[in-house]
Formats: sequence, C-alpha cells, structure tokens
Amino acid sequence: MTNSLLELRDGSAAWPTLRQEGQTVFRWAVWEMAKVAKQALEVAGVKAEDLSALVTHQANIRIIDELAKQLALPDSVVVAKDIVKTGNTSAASIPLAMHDLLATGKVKSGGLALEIGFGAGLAFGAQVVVLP
Amino acid sequence: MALSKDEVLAGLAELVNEETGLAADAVQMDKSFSEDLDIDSISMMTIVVNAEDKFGVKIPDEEVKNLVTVADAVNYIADNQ
Repeated sequence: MTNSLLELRDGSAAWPTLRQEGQTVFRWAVWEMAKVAKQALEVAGVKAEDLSALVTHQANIRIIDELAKQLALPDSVVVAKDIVKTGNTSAASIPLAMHDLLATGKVKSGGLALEIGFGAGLAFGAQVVVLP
Repeated sequence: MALSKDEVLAGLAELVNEETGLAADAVQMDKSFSEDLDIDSISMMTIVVNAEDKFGVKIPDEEVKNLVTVADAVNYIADNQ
C-alpha cells in the first residue's frame, strides 16, 4: 500500500481491500472441476447415470448449477443445493449437504454419490462414495 | 476460415440467448453487456467459455473485464481467430 490515509479518505486512491477474482474462480470451479469430477467417476469405475447424487462444495449456487450442467447428469441424479438453506459453510458444506439429502429422503442409503470439494488454495478433491 | 464480424456477432448472440434467454436481435454492437443487456459477471464468464469453444479463440480471464460492449467481444474474437 503506497497511498496516504488522506488520499484514501478523500477518494483519490482506492481502498486496499482483499478481493476475490470471482470470474477466474468461477471458471476454474466449473470447467476445471468438471474434468476432476469426470476423472473421479472414471477412477471409481462408475458412470454418471449410476449416481444417486452429486454433492459439491456448497460455495455458490451458480457454480453448482453450471457444474451440474457441464456434467450432463441425467434427471435421476439429485444435485445437492443445501446452500439455499445454509449459505456457504466452508469445510462443513459437503457433509451437511449429504446429511440433508438423506434426512429429507431425497436420496437413499446405499446409493452412490460423487463428492467434489474445491476452494481456497486453489485446492480440490473428488471421490465417489456409498451413501451412509 | 476466419469469420466476418457479422458472423461473429450472430454466433455471440446465439450464445447470449442460450445463457440468458435474451432475443438474439437485442445483442447489438453498441450494447454494454452489464448495463444494457443485464448480463452479470458469472453469466458473462459462461458466455466467454462457450465463445472460446465456438470460435476456437482463447479469451484469458484478464481480458474478460475489457469486454464491456458487444463490439469489444466481437472485435476481440474476430481479431484473434
């Protein structure tokens, strides 16, 4: 930061705030994570139509919607959108979203779910699990 | 084979329509994506990624904020084919 307090106060310099590069993160979270999701399915030997649910990190509903669209999932696959109720709960978002799907009966135990987490770092991970 | 600017505009209008439902003829060169067409930054990025596929042009993230009007996008795509 090289500006004086007076310059900041009087608006002749922008406040030195931390900002997310939202568009860059969106592009990565959708199109790069779509590749990771497909890789996780391949490693698990599972096809998209075998899934009961897609449980992504609940960062932003627009990411979830576009990521689900890029994966071209059949209508039978439930897409977790717990963010609508809880907002972004950070590292808790995937387990909370999965619990919500099970507790509300949207998916059944024993079905397969593709989990994919992504966030600060930028770090990511994906796996196919059996719903508890 | 490089597309003409009119062809790029028509292609871009299709992408805008697919993403937002806006009629293709609303997508005119002088229109601002955000102010006139009400396209937010996330929809803009989706349109940009789809345009990269459609036109075979790379549009880096740092360039996206310079694409304020439809003309900016058409010219960038046409010039980088």
